[in-house]
Amino acid sequence: MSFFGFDTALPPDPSGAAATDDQLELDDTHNDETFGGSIEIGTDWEMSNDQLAAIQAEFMRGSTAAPASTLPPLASGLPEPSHDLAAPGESWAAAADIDVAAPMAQLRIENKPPSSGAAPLSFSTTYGSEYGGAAVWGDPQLSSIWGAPAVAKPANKMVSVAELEQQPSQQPQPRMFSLAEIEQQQQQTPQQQFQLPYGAVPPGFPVQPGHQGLLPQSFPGAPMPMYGLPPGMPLPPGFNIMQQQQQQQPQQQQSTAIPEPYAQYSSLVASGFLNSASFHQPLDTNANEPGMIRDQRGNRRRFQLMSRSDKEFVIRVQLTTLQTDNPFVDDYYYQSYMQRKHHKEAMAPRLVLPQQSAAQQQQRQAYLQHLQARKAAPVTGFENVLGKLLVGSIHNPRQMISVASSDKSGANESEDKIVSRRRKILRFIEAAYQTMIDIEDIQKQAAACGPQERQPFFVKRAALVNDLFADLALPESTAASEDAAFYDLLSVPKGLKLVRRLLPLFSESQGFAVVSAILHRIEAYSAGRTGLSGTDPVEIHSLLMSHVVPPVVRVIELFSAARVLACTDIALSVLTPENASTIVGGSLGVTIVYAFLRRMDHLLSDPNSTTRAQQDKWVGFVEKLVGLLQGQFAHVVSLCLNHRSLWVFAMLSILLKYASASSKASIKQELEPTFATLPDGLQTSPAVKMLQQQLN
Amino acid sequence: MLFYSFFKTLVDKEVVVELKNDLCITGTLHSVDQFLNIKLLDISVAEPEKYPHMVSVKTCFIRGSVVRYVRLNPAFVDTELLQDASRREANNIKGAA
Repeated sequence: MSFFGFDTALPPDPSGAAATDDQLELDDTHNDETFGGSIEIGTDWEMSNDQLAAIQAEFMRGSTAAPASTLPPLASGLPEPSHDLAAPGESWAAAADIDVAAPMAQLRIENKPPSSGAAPLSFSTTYGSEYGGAAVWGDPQLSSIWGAPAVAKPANKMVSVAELEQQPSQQPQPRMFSLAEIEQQQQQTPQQQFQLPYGAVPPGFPVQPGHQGLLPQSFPGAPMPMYGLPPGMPLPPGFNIMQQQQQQQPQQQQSTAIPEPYAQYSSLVASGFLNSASFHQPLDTNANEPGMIRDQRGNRRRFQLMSRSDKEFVIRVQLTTLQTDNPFVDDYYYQSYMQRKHHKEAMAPRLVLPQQSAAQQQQRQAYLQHLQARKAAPVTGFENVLGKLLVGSIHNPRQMISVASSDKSGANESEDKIVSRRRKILRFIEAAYQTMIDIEDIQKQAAACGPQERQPFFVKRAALVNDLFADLALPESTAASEDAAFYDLLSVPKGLKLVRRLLPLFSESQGFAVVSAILHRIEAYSAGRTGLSGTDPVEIHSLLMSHVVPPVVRVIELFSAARVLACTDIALSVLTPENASTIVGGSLGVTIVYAFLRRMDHLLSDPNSTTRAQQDKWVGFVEKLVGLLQGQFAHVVSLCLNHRSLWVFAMLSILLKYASASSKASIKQELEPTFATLPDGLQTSPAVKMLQQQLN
Repeated sequence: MLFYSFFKTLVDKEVVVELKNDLCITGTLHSVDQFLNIKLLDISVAEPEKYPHMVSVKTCFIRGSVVRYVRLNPAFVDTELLQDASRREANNIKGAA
């Protein structure tokens, strides 16, 4: 065996024809290095080489027996190595008059014929004769750049792989080639070019059954640098061992069955893709774009990475799932949120308001901490819900509430009543929200239509609003009704938020009904006694002030004189000397009373808006109110200042406008000490100054 | 699509993403997709001594399936609008079913 682990004594290709596609396919499949397969030698590579060295040594001991018998069986059909090179017992090196121990520099091509008459250094004379007959070293008649694969026969001394590694300089090295030889090789076909590199046996290279010791042909697309050669360096055409074997034994290579373990690549082989020029040939080679090739689609790829069109395809596939015909339906939250945001930014007030005092900020912080402390309470665990609690569906979260409440049934009947009542209220609120969503959709459809086409939508909308109002079950008479569903709505935070959105939908009469219902229970609301059991009264009151009072005030500002006077009648029926100061001094009371006073004052400024009777009735209301608050004006002012409600001064100024002289004198007498104790900022405020002027 | 629509409104807001492996990442929400994969910028980890390998990380892409919670400022959320969107989503699902 040769040093390189394969038998180079192969006959040349007599026809010199290129390998057929089938042959190349079979060769390709055998190249495990290209496919990176998990093929293993089965034995250690070094051990295999040691075995080969032992066999070689045995061969070189001068056995007269045919050394071929000692060699491992080669591929069938391969020629036996010729043994006529040296006489039995004679060193081949001596026969060839070659000093194999000479350094590389001496082993160049020399115009020196062999000194002896012995055959040139070659395992096979026929092989050598095809390519200039001789060894690499010292053969001037080479017609190919590679010549015969020179295999330096080892000397008599046996060397192991380790010793060979220690003496690299003594090992045969590939020779250097001239430019003419390289160009000649490049003119050959690609199949002949991309063949096994000379002298390269990568560790771990598989040995196919029946080809032990042979180096199968490399995959045509194998990257050249892997084998230690510079890129583009062609290989000797005659070095296609497998090709030669197949030519010798064509009947054996007729089967194109792909042996294991390469069968997984059969599809690639069958398609001919791997052998196509477009796959291997870098057509768009550019010094500035290394690795750029053109694939089957004609797209330019770098190192077979994804091209821009591939990336765009993937992105397009992902984006198609987001396409929608109606973004307001599919992307409702985002569209509505951005709409409201832009609307707020457009309607943002330009006026710079004065900063709040430190006391006001402290009060706000205290309230926020109170809310956070309440919300930070741990979630109540669900006991005894094993097997009953299903959380697999995000579309049905209410089951958790049902299980939790049903579990506590029987433990406390009053609690059950409260829970059932709360559930009933929440169910009603959800139904009301559904109706509101339908109303909003109708409004949007109406807005999208022309003026002539909107009438049906308006009719539909009015019907829904009337149904919604009817469901509130507000008391029709001025008498308060404790069983009205509307009061239940105001007892839960969600209901208060619903009322805020309902009031703008109602007509004037419907709004009047809502305001009347609130006035009937203004005492309870002022005292914070309207929340459902288990709710936070502070939160309920705060939500009432922030969510319900502003739309109520806007409704009052649209009232007619008759409506205002009707509300004043309700107020007088509710207010008593005992609770008047508390109600009017509270934030809710002072805001609503001031709203009525301002509206009526505005109506009375236009003589055509009110009748004489209405004016008289209004004056009578003012006198009664002043009488109810007699001796408690200072208390009312102090209550209002506690919750930072400055409307009290505006309310008092309007009251003084329509009060009698005696009432004015009593009010002045009560408020003068109060003015003296007001903070400096308030004393100089316009509302206080105007009130003082009116009193004076 | 509701959550995707919701998270789109949180772009450029600071959020805290808690993963299922208990890693908490604070960062500015850069983008979100329909799978609720999240990309965060200028991230910081809640327990850097426990996750020292995250100290030098400035940008991260989080697969949506590994997210446990996303904590955010309540001011960024329009609760009523979110409730309306949930109701509409439920109606759409009911209608589709």
